Amino acid sequence: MTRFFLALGALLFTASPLLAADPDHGHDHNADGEVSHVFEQAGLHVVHPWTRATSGRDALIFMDLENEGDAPITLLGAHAHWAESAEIVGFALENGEERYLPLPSIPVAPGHDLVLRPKEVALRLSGLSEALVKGQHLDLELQTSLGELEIDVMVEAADATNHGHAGHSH
Amino acid sequence: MEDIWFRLPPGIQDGLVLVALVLPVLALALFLLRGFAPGPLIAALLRRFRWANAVFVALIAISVGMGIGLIAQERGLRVGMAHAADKFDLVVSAPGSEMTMMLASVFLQPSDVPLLSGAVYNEIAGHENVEIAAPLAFGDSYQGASVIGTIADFVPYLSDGRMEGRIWTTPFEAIAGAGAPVDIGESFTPAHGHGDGADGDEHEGVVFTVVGKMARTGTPWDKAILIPVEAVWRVHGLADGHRVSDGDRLGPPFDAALFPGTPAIVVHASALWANYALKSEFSRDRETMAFFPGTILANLYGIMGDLRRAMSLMSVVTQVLVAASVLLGLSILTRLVQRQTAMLRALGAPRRFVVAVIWSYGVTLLVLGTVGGLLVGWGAAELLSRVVTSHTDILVRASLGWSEVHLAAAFLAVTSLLSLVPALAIPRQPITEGLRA
Repeated sequence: MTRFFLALGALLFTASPLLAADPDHGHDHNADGEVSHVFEQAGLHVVHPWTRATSGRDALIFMDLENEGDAPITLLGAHAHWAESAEIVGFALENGEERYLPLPSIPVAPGHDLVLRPKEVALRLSGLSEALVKGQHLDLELQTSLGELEIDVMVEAADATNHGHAGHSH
Repeated sequence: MEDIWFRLPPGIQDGLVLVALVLPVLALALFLLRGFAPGPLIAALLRRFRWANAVFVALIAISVGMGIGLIAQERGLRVGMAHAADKFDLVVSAPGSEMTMMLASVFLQPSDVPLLSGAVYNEIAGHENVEIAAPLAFGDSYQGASVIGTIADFVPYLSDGRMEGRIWTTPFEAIAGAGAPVDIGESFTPAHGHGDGADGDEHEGVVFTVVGKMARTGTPWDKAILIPVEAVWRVHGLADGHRVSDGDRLGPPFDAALFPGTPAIVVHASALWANYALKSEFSRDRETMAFFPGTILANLYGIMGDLRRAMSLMSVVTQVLVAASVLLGLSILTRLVQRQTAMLRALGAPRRFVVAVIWSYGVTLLVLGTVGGLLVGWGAAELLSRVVTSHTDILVRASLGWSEVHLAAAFLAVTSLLSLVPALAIPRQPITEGLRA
């Protein structure tokens, strides 16, 4: 029995760094050490990317895309290593049932925002390789006419309707 | 396993759920009835106690039907409301309440709201991805029907081109909805405002002649009367969006300086994706608000969803109470047939046969009651749909869907399994006591 407790103690001791590991590990942090909520690329500001916790096959990703540049920027799609495919989808009510239909690219005019939000437009990632857990941060490669942009997607609660920092100025 | 399930078409999933609900009852039936043919005995019991059986079946049918009717009606209303918003892909208005503007534009419940300028209208109408930009001018009515100013292109778009007569060619011609109180060839003078507060003398001397009538769309617009937006502006003493030198010109392009304003513009884009780009472009702080009525409705459904869950819970609680009553009722019915079962046992019938007869008798009543419940539910939903349609002009169609079938099947499965309890109690009663009953 003593050996069992010794082994258990050793296991806990060696595992403690793993248990204490920050779930944000590997993500961009700002000067205050917080995880970034804004990502920039040549006039494109991507604000508050987020999704909902799920154990299903699909996840919808939402964010604000702000075109601060002088030319239109087109949202082309996305790529993530934790999903088989990604596509832009638009919300539609068909016979009272909610559907997300695949869309081609969407242009964002200079000085305008494209808001990806629930029941409007979103990025749908299908074939998730793992369950998404609240508080988790996910890497996502956003594809636009400017090129690819690495962003960090915050996983909110399964019934969330917006990003936890929605309404904050960034 | 989960992957395979999600890959199945919804119809197959629903069918499999139904099979899963019915399967335990079929398995029990196979086990109890194996090698027996209790049909004639059950038929005799049904005939012998036909009035008691009929009351029992009717009670089940009514209680099951109420639950089913409620769910079917809720879905019918949801589908009807969504259908009403089908033609309203994107609406642009002055910043304010999206819900208020959705109710005004889709359901013709106008409120006093700020107006959009001619410059904004021209920008939207001239956008490369916009096929139709229809201004809506509310405020007048005729015999309870809204009189709405718009452009000619909106009429075939709204009615899918299904209309009698023709489109207006002069400012004081009108096109009526299928349920409007005027027909082709009739004339009317609109009242200023709606309802009891409408002023019938305000537009005295203004006469519109109906030249076209749209086919029924199943939306509140069926009761509306459409007129050229220029006429609305003129009868209110405003410029009509065109220069004097243009004469009686109707429709766009409008002169921005002579455009009195419009509370809402219904936008139909060239493609689905373009709606999102247009929303992005016409959502401007303190200037314009662009929104999808479908999204507002879906958000409303989200709130109603809680109500639906409450209704479903009530329905389930009701079904549980009904199931308890059914159990009690079956116990009473088994007392009725106590003498017959005692006779069977006295003749040497096997215990399983007696249980099979009583259980099958109970399940037959439950099946009849449940099927009756589906019919009662459909009838109740149909009746409610007609009442709602006549009061709201939203075409509500009652139909039984998988949810109702699943509810009925679940009820049948639970009560059928429960009815085994009184059936199993029969062989435990003394035969002599049963024969004396």
